[in-house]
Amino acid sequence: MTTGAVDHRAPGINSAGEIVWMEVIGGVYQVVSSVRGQITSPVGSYGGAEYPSLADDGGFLCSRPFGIFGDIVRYPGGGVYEFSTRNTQTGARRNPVRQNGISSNGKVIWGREFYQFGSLSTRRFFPRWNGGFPSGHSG
Amino acid sequence: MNRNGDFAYDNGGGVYVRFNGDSTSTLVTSGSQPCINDKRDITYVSSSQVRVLYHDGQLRTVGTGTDPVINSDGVVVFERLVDGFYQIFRARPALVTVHRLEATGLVCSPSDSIDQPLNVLPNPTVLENQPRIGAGASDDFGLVADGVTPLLFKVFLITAPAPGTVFNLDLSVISGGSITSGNLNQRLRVLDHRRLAQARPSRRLPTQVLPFSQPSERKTFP
Repeated sequence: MTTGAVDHRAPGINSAGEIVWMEVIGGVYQVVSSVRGQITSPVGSYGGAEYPSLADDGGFLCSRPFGIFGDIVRYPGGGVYEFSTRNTQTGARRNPVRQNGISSNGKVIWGREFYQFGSLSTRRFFPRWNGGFPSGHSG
Repeated sequence: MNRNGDFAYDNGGGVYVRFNGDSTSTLVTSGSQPCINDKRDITYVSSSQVRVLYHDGQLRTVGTGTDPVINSDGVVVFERLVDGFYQIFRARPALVTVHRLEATGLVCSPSDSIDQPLNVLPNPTVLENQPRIGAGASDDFGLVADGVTPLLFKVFLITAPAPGTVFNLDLSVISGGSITSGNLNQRLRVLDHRRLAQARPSRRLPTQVLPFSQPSERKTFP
């Protein structure tokens, strides 16, 4: 599917056969579609976009890192499923798991990992069968 | 995660599936990086090999790679390190889909009698866009076996078949009806250069031919 002297990684595919992957563009990963070409770009705090998963309607989920933090974002719309938090006194933090999933009909699953004293302590996953956003998150 | 809400994950060298509604997960095999599709086929990595464990228990090895995903048609895409860079690969066996024909794909007239056979327009561009059936969508209609309504098969390959490739389609009634005369294979037609030709046993398709076929059959039901 791909060629060239840059990494193309973490593919996703929908029922129509459209494929997405993350590809190094401008020094960071961006999401590229076999049908639509590059479908993410730097915006706001976000530089890159990683680990896309693709639904049948063309909507996709991906990780948008910034520094040691990041969000799990759904497009179109840019709604956030998961974001990072940090205790500034202890340094403990919570980050989204970069890998995520979206089904052919839009159900989503994403993860959250907790770091204490610089080490990963717990990882949890959250299926969202109706595809909606968690309470208090932007959609 | 698939459309049913089932999801797959790895933990400690095992591939697990949690079916929607279940409170516990099932260990299905050893491996990592699994993905489950709408048919509950699971692709995963074991010993650097991308494998597919189909819902009927068949196991196939796709090839060397990591991070595979699989869609509802069984198309597997994955990444593989080539000359120092990761590239995306796609793999799949031949896919046969079935379609009903809308008015655009039929040759008929409003004045035709109800028993007049509905002929198929031998136009590959038109046939390409006929609605698929049997894929599980909400608008996924079946087909009435009334003896005059055609059913369209499409054989889809990622790359053009090698010259001399033989396609075999064996059609039969599994249960619930019978054929008034002959058999379904005798009603099979193959789109060959904008012409629907009688299919032959072990028919060889020229590589430039779009592999559509169209059986029309009269069935009687108990």
